[in-house]
Amino acid sequence: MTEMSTSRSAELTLLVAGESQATRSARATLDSLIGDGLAEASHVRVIDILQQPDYALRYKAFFTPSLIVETPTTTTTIVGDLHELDEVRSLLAAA
Amino acid sequence: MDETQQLREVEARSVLETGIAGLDHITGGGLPRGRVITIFGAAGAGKTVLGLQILAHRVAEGERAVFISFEQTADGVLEDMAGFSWGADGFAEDDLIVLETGMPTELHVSGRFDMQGLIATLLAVTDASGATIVMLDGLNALLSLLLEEADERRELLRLTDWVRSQGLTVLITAKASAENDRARTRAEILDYQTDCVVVLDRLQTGNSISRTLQVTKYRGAAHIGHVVPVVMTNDGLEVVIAGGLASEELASGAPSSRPDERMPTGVEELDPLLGGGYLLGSRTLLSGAPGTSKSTLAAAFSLAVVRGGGRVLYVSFDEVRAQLELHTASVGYSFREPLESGSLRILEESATGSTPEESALRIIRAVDELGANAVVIDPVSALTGSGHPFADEALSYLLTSLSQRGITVLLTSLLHGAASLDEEATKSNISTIADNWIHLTYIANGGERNRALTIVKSRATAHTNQVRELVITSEGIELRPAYVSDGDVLLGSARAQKEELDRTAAWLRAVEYERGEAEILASMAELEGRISGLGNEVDLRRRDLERLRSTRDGALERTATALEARVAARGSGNLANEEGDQR
Repeated sequence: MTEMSTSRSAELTLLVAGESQATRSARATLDSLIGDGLAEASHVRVIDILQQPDYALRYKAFFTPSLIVETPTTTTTIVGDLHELDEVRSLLAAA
Repeated sequence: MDETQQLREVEARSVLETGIAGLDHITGGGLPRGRVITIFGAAGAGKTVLGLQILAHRVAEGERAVFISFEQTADGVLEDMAGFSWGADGFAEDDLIVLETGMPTELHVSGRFDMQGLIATLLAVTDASGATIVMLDGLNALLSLLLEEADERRELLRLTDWVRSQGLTVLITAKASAENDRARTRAEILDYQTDCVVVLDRLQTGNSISRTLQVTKYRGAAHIGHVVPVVMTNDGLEVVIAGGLASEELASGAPSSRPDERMPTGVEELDPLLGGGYLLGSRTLLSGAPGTSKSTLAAAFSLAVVRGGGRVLYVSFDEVRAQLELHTASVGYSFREPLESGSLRILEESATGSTPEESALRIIRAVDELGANAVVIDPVSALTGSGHPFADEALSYLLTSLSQRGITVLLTSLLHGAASLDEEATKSNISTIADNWIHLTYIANGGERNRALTIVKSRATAHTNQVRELVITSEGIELRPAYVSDGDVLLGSARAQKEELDRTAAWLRAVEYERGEAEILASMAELEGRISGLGNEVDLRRRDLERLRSTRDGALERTATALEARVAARGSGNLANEEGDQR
């Protein structure tokens, strides 16, 4: 399970804009990933860019929601409400 | 109208000067502040340059600006700017913030999303910097990542609403000629959602291409909406429209400040005929057939100005510099010395491969570089007779610019017999733009061809209408009265007194006929020129109409298609599932 270890060591930043259906959907998926052990809760943060717009600037995140997956060597961005859990899983595994 | 209403009106007309005089003129002062402005244009039309130039001007005026590129790197943008006079010295990083926003290399899409991240980015960067004007360049790249047309519409609406709520001025560049339906719809949405729309385009005439600009929309304000010529130089885009110059103050050397100062014509006998010479800052037209020594008269004038301590720019369309030098030197007007000392400069212009508006700007630039007091344009018919759609506009811009600088102008023009009537017809209002009009002709009689000079008009000057014989010697031009006196007859012949008297009378009649003919031809030419100018305007209007119609037809077609789909859905009994895939 090398792919699991990769995603577990990654830093996950979910950028959302306020409370919307897309925000809720993305958060729910993120929670599932943590529940599945695919992500480490201590390596996950959720940021509302309407409150902290600097993050949007820093990550060049023009779309919301955006999930930024950072490993020491790569940065992957997944935009969308992440409602397809399986799709997100495989994207994360490939990151 | 009560006071509040008036106040609102003033508020609504809060404008942002662009620093481009012609653009500020046609928009009635500048672009709308606190609004969204779209600049449409094909690739290479100069959208980004126009935007950057406006930002640079705002920064120079003490504002802060942000440039966000979705296509280029920040270094690329700065490099492009360095090529222009207003960007060559660079900018303080705080004054002009250039953000490159290349898409993340590893970008995946999973589910629906919106563009609030862009708004947050704008918020972050304007909050931190205090910037009041933002340019979004290449937003297409971002918008095309959105999944559906409806998303695009929604996000653009969100963006424009937010911008207005913040009082920010935002410039958006977009491609006008859309390559697919989605892009076409995007252009329509932008056109509809933004407060001011500027369209950059090109217009081909023969081998040369005119750049054009049109303000197609300016919400809540009157503006000049027709297509105007623009020229790209290292000063950026310049809108060539004489009206844009009118508001500027007259230069100190302008004619109004020295009402009766005159410049020598270079021909001793001509000065008194014009009340002492050419009025300072006036325009003189020298018309005549080829070989009637228009250029020679122009050369005489140039050297007289130089001798008086002035500087002259001689714009030569017909002859290359060496030819002109040789030709004038052969009749006693050598350019060698003033060329060497730098008090005379010859600007070789070509009427082909370049547009009149480009020529006009090059001439103005050369005048400024030289610090010229006088300009010769030989011949001006190269500009006006070029058949270019903006020839009149360019000439008007050129002459207005020269007037503002108080420069005395001498224009030569081919204007002769019926053989070239067609050619003449393409010339425009040449005779009305000049304060003085001197006409040169050949008169053939008794086996001789003599040159004659008449002053057709001389504004605000007591002048003579008498015909003079123009004689070219190795010492230059001499004018001789075409009179018979004491049995001695002019025009270089020596015949019996009676014969000569008869001949002279005939000659004078011929000259009068010629002069009358020249005047009629000139006024016909002027009218023809106006007609062709109107024809061009009709063409431009037709293009506008076609563009408008195709936009409307496109919109109607889509509505029709949507309706058909609904009808089909209803027909197959799938009313409830109307949005589904039942067709």
